[in-house]
Amino acid sequence: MIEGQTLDGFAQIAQGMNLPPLEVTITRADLVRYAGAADDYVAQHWDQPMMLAAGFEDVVVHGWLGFAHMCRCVTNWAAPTVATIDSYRVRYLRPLYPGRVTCGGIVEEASADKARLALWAQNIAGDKVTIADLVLRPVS
Amino acid sequence: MTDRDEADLERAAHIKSLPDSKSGSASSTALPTGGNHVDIDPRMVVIRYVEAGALRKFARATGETNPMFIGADGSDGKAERLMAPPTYVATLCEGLAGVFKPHPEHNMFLHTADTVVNYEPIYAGDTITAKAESRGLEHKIGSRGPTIVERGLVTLTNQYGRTVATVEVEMRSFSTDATGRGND
Repeated sequence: MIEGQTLDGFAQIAQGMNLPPLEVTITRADLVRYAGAADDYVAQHWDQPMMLAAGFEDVVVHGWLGFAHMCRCVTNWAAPTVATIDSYRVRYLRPLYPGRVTCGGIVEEASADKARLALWAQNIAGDKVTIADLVLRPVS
Repeated sequence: MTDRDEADLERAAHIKSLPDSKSGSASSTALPTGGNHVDIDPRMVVIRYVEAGALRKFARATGETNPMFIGADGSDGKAERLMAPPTYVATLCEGLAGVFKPHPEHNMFLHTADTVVNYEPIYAGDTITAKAESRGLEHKIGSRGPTIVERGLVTLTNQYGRTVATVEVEMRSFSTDATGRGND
């Protein structure tokens, strides 16, 4: 298969494959929408005066929202009918502010019953803001 | 964040020890009940019915377009057995409010890590019991000065009594000045 294409089956996953990158612009409206859907009203995500007073550039994107887009990068490539997300470990390295974010990843290990991916999200300045290890299993 | 902090986080995140075995904490994380004299903050246990509309709302808020998560075009999601998107577990962690106890002088906290193990999918129509517990805290001197790192674990169990996922969340609290740096 051509690297970057959507998978037809788990067996196509090979070490070193790059996931098709996903570019997203996260707006303040997205944060409001996510806060309502996730019931997450922590002030860091909506109280700009508080965040500016504390020295941050802006309100910060919910970590889980940024990671949800990283997961979309995975499920757009390996649909839930092909692979299931078994586990993941995600680290929020630095605050992600509303704006452009690019998500990507690479297959670090692949076997018949497991694939381990290294995922990342970077801001418009090119800084990695979030990284994750994620394990996929074939849908049985 | 200093380069050293970032390097530490990079290393931590790439440890090749994601929980492959699912024989771990699932059965050992239930909170004491019955005759135990253990104080449990009632906020630490949350029971939620997973409603199809709420699942769709969450899926759309995270940009999902997959019909497995949002239903087919024109449907209301009720006729299908919608599956929860990968990060839906985040919405079931509010019990951590009874776990995390930032230092009263800390005016800021940030969510810094999550570790999730999925055992079974969550579907619309499920009733999930989420039990939160502390996984301890550490005092550190970080790039923002004195920092408390707290970890909490949430175990999600469905209406059949089966563990569907465990979610470990890490938060860091600290005190900032107008530069965003620590007040140390």
